[in-house]
Amino acid sequence: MTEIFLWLSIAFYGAGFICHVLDQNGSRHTLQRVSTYMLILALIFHTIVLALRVMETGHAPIAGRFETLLFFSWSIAVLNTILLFRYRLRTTDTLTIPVIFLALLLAAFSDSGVYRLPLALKTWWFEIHVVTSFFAYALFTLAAAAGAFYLLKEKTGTGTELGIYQNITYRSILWGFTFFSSSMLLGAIWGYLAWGSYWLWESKSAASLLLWFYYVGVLHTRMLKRWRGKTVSVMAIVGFALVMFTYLGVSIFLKSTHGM
Amino acid sequence: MKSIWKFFTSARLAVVLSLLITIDVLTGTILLSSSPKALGTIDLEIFFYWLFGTGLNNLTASWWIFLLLALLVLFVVNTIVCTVDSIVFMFRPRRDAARIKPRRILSQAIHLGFIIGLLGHLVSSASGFRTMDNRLFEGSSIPIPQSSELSLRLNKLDVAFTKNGDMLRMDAYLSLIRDKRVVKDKVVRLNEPLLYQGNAVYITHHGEAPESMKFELSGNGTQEIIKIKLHERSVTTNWGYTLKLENLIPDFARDSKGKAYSASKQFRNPALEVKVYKGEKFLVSGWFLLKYPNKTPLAFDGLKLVFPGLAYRPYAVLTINKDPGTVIILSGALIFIISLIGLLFIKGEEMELVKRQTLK
Ligand code: HEM
Repeated sequence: MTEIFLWLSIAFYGAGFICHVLDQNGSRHTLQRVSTYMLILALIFHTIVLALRVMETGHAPIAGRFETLLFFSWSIAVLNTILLFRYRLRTTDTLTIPVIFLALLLAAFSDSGVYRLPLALKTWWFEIHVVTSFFAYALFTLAAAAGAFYLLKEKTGTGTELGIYQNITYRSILWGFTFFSSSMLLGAIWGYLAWGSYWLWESKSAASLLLWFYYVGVLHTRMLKRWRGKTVSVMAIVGFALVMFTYLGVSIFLKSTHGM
Repeated sequence: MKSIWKFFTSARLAVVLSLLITIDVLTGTILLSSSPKALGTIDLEIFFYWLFGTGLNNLTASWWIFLLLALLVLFVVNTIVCTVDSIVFMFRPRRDAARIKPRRILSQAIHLGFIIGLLGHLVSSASGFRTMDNRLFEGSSIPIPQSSELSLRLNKLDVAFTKNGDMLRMDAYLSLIRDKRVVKDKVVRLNEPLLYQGNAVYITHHGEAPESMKFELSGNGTQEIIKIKLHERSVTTNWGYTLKLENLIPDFARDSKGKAYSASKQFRNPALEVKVYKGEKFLVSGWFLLKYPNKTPLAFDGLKLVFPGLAYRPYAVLTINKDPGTVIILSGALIFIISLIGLLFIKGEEMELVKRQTLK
């Protein structure tokens, strides 16, 4: 059941994306509308997958690679929907939907077995800790997408257009930074309650620390005329690479007791 | 002096420092997983004690932590100077009120929260204590480290597993005692420590240790259970018999010549020789082997004595820590995050995810 909805959602994201790309200059309204409907359907299926998973496991979809990939991509999709309905903005979809698509594809080929959560992870602190960190990752992804568009349109785009991208980058980094700081606090509280230490020196925590400092830096470029625009857009893209390192790289390439 | 101040008010310095910290910690992330031997003990001690002990002796793996500290010092000075500068700027007399904007106030509150939080880290890195593997048996007490008056008693340990062997619960019913009076009762389980005046008590695992040797004396349709504590040599039963332990081999084994010896000091496979008396009168003696509980019963007065095994007593393994920095860190973090959230929601188009007017 979960699998069917997962593939349906992958298919609709794919189809919606193709329709969106075919209409890059926004002149073919029907195509754009079809794409919007498809993406909304994809998100509905995606949500069903998550809901089924939550019912099956009895906890938030945050344990193991299968669940986190589902949840990470879902956060981006929700964010895209907010952008669409509140701001009628779809350009960044061109970059964020492939991220969703790839994450879901990776999830489809990951181990989706249901495991009992160890006793130490059965707490709200842990669940909100992970959920907020994935919202942050999604917002940082959006910031990178906007940064990439800034660079792409730097020569051809109008000032207003560039202003929009720049604004998305700063605003979503500020939102992302808020979620990320909250996530680190929640993780610290959980660690303190679970094993008596609000901080552990291991690679996943260290990677979070570097990500936090990195975005402090990015936020403060707003005060520096010469860093705004091109440099901060590049920084947002590098930030996405660091996010991927923190989320996936640490557990794939390094030994970490975080065990996610 | 003025030029030093000016140097530290620079936002460019803040950006450059945060990038340097990023690169340093990125290296650290890799070193943390590639040098488990050198860095693996870092969380077992108070941070500065570790850093200036083990850390100094393993500089090839720990250099980045020292560099991080140096960069952090610069960063904190940078933040303090910027914050002071900005607050002075906002509240200088005869300035127009427009300078005091919500955004500016909240940004400075964020900086203040960060500084307070870091101060808490400093306190927590240099004070308090961490102790692990404190064994506490059901019914007994241990003192809280570095406290002359507090002690901890385990009233009951309740552990349960599922059919597959997954742990369902591990509940330690603890009482914190001062001057023989209970000051706090708490069921400590995973994620639910006992917190009291900066002390924190956690349960990490549990176990049971042999406490006594158990015998069953039966006959005439009744039965008596007799226990001899591990460090005791004899016991007198309710029925008036005295059991004397003549020989005790905790971990019975035979060498190549067939001679008995103890393979270890643990009570894995005890063998014991018992003599039975009624008052002063010797009745009977014999060997008991744990592996053959019923094969060698001793018979006397129409009764039967068997040795079904050891009686165990459960214990909890506790971590007991004290960290006076946590309250300060929590206060700083809350100021930080509440101000950040405030920054997201203060009025004005600027606070939207995208500037709305630019979209039209
Ligand atoms: C770890 C240290 C720091 C943290 C976590 C931090 C965090 C922040 C945050 C989240 C904001 C709001 C950003 C925004 O509105 O987009 C901000 C604003 C600001 N920060 Fe920092 N900051 C730090 C250090 C510094 C330092 C060292 C300086 C010195 C140059 C500085 C100067 C400023 C300024 C000038 C603002 C803008 C205030 C305004 O809008 O009027 N910050 N900071």
